[in-house]
Amino acid sequence: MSVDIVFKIAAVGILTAILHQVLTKSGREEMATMTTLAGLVVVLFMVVGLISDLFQNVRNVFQFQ
Amino acid sequence: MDILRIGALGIVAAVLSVVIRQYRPELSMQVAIALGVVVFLFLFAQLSGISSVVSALFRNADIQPEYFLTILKATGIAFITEFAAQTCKDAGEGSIAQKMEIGGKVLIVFLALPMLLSLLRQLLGLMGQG
Repeated sequence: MSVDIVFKIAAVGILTAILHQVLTKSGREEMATMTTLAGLVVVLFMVVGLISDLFQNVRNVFQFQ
Repeated sequence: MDILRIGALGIVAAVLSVVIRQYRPELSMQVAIALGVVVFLFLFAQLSGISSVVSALFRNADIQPEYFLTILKATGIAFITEFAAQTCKDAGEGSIAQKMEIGGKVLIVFLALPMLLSLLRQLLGLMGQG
């Protein structure tokens, strides 16, 4: 667990935004929406992993909450 | 120094979050969550040191150790509730944040109930003798 996961999530976010814009401008609306949803799911998986890590640590530090 | 790293990381994450919010507001919230988790994971290493010092203090003062455990658990509940509620508020979901806060309050009262009962019992015992 280190710092770069924050940057990874931000990079995926920016990439999704760029892809969405490119696909919308070239007329492929439905592909743009699906790309956005895919990016959202990827980021959600990363964040859920992080949150589960955090709560595991909380359980350890505050002794079996 | 540690606070420099935390401060710099927070500022960078805020900048990234603002940039992403223009295009994908749902993803900017994830950046904030990720940053919060990373910072707290780093702080927990320090927190367990504090916790062991306070627990040693309690042991020297001859107070029952389960009181310290209750206080520790209540702190943990408060911490998680604050984290979740603030995240929901940042995402614009004020009502969900309020549900988090209600949950935290109820759980802390439930946790503190045995201590309250034993305190009341002792008070009543004192009043009964006096």
